[in-house]
Amino acid sequence: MTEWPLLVVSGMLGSAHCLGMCGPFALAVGSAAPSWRANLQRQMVYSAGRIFTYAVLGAVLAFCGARLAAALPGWTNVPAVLAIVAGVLLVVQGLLAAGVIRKPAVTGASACPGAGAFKALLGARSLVDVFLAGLFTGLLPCGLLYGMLALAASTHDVARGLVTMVAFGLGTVPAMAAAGLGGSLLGLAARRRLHAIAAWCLVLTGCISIARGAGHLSFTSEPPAGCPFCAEAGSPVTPSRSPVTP
Amino acid sequence: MKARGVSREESAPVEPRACDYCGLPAGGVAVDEPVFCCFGCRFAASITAAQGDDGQARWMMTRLGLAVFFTMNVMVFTMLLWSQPDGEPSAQAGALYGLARHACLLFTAPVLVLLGGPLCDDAIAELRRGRASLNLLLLIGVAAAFAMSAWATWRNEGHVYFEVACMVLVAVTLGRWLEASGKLRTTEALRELRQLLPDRVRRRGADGDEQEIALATVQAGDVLRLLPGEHVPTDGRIVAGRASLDERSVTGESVPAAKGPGDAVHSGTCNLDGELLVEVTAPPGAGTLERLIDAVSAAAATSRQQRLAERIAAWFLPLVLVIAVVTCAVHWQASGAAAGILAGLAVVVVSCPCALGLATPMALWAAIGQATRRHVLVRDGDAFTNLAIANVYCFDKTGTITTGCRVNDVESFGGVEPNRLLAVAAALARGSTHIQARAIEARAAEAGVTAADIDSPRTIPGCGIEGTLRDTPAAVRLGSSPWVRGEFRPDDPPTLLAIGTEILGGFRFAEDVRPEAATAVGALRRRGVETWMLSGDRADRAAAVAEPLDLRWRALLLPADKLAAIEGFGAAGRRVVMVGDGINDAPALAAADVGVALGCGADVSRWSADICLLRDDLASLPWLVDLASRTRRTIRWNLLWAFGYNAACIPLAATGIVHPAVAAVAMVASSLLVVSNSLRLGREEPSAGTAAVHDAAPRVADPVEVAA
Repeated sequence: MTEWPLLVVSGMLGSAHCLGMCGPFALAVGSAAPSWRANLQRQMVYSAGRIFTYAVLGAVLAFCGARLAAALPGWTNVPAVLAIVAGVLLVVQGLLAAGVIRKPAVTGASACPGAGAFKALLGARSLVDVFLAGLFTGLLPCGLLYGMLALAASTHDVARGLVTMVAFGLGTVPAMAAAGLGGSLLGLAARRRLHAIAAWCLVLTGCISIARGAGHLSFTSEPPAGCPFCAEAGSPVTPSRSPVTP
Repeated sequence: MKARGVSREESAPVEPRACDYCGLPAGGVAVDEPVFCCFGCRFAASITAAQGDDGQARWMMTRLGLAVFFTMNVMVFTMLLWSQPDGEPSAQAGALYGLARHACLLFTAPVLVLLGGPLCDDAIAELRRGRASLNLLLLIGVAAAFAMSAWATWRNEGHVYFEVACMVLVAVTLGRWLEASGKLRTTEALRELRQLLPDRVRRRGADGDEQEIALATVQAGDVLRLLPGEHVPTDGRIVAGRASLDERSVTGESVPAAKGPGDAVHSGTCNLDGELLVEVTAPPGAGTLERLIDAVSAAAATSRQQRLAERIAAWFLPLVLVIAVVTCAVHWQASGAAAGILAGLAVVVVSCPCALGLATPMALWAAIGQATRRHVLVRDGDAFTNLAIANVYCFDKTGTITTGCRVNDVESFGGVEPNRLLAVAAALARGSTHIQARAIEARAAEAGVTAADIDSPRTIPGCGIEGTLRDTPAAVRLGSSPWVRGEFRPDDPPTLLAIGTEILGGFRFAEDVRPEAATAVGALRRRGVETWMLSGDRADRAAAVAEPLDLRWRALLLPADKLAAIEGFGAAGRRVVMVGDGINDAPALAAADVGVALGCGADVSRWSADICLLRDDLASLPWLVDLASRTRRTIRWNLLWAFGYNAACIPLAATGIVHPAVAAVAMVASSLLVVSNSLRLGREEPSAGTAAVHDAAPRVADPVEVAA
């Protein structure tokens, strides 16, 4: 399946954008480590926790997507629509990161009553706690994640949705681990530049997803065979039916 | 009108045992072991190590996290099982699905142990206290679902419901824990106050040696040493040293008070600049700040709506129990054991007694906490919510609309030095609580005049004070001019001082209208309420204060007349707010639907009002009324939601169409809705209206001359 390497790349590019939110967590995880090696180990365990959550969410969303498709048997475009939704989410996320769209300022302190406990887990000594910290990090609201989840939903298959999210999660590991290992290695200016590049990469990923989804929008009763991302793997759907690329 | 009498201290003290975690009333009797109001608080306390064991706390957190981890695994395998196509699977697929079931079993068992344990402990604790709990039913349902599924896995046929057991346990634990955290936040303001008290103090022994001891072990009579910057740990009297004390926390007064040997200090106040030796007069827990916190703590527990919610909850639990059992029996009969157990479990899980129980107290607590932050102390939850629907506001004049009486002019006759006049008058005035006597004393203190020595001062009611001057034994009199002079002269100052028969001089008084009074009264009137000023003063002077403010007024009222006026409004079916001086207007404050007092001072036991504006700032009144309106809306909304939710969801669950896992999510969502709705009240809202009252208050400070 050719889309999984693409997902890994999306994760890599996207995670540079995510460092703003999740980078401090990675740093906190690393702060309790006595050595460089121990820190690396903790970062890997932490990322494993995150990927685990992504995988479960991917499986659940894929199941829901399949149910949705089954509930709307006459409506053949569910995967394509989900791909478009995912693409739009990614584009919006990218534009937000690039500063093109302004985020409404969040007012008031964090309302989450579990925040204190989460902080305790991040700094905990035991690896089990670090894993759990990663697990809960995966549940934090994140636009990029939602975009990827929409992609997972469009796979319509529990196992495939799961693998989609694992691939995405793996892509986020290098940046997160790097952030946890030496957050101060890169200067502020360098980080800003990286951030900007990542933001536009995200927009690009979103556009690809939208284009693929649009390419598979079908207005006949004939069901499209397979998900938009599998098109390259030999989908019988001919692009000539698409209203976008006639 | 309130049935309660003037002195609320006389009524038997109702001491609702507070929850050891969130501080909300837990109900039940006082026992030595820790008391929690709900499972959530019990669980949250074990997570935050409220009982002091840090390792145990981390283990509880890890436990919850692991349970979530296992549940997520179960969910994935369940999704796989649910995706099973209809019809007979191939041998390979059959083996795969069998594997998935076993995996579910493997991952569910630890969840039962991890989260079932604490729930089980709570159910047993509740049973011991003689209370039935839904947790017991929940445990039975979960255990049944698990046993049934394990049996099906063993025989490799039939449905499995492992995800139900996991989801219910995780959702219930997580939901109740989040509720408890929410409740904790509402009582934050009071905890902040309590944190003003230090944990350890320095005790000075009889031979001058010093020892650091825990505050709890301090006894009355101990001498403590206080350094600059430290808070006074408990009430006491200064034995040696001088210092300025910041008493904002207990009196709202922002100007530090200078104190020296013999002066009383209150717990929670801050020693700003001097070293003090303080003899303890009240043991820890009985100090000013603690009594103040206790008074506020009791406010929500005694609310009428809270009692109503408790009564409803009392029959709500058995009702849900019966519905659950009946549902289980009916579905069991109709579609087998699995359907029966699932439907019964769904009923128990979806019912949200917490939303019912939390609807009122959480909103009230959040609002009261918010008020406490603004130095407004609420002692009665009902009175506070009544503030929102009151339609008549009565104000006292002196000390409420005006800043109180001050000496405007000291007139001396026959060349007597004004300071001598003040020295003698202040000595006589010292024993009196009369407002003009207080003003004379204040003027003497301002001028740095030491009071003369007076023997056997005596108050003649309605006239003045007389006594004997010690240095030149002579009778002295201070009082209303007709009484001192023996005849009325229109050009006399209202208060005269005489030694023997010789009139030495007199005092003229004035009072300033509070700068914020006009905006505060205006803001209230915009709410459509009637505003009155009830004054004991002469008609012309009452009019001079009231009319510029557009207040309707009545003058020449004795305390009994004010009481009658308030009762008159009440008899006409109006809801009355009396705003007055905490001590002199006590009967009227107690008789009104809501008594709001300024000038409460530090002594909480003397307060007769429902609400005290510690800062003596009338501008906080419209803000408070606004908060009360929002609180009332929130309570009504919460109750409506809690009732509506339960009324809609329980029957739905009883029909068997709601999956217990969905029910669990619905229950958590309902609780969180109520909690977050209440917590919004605790958030500081920089309302434009209130800010304007502070900033743009026009100065309405024309001095109005007053007389006895």
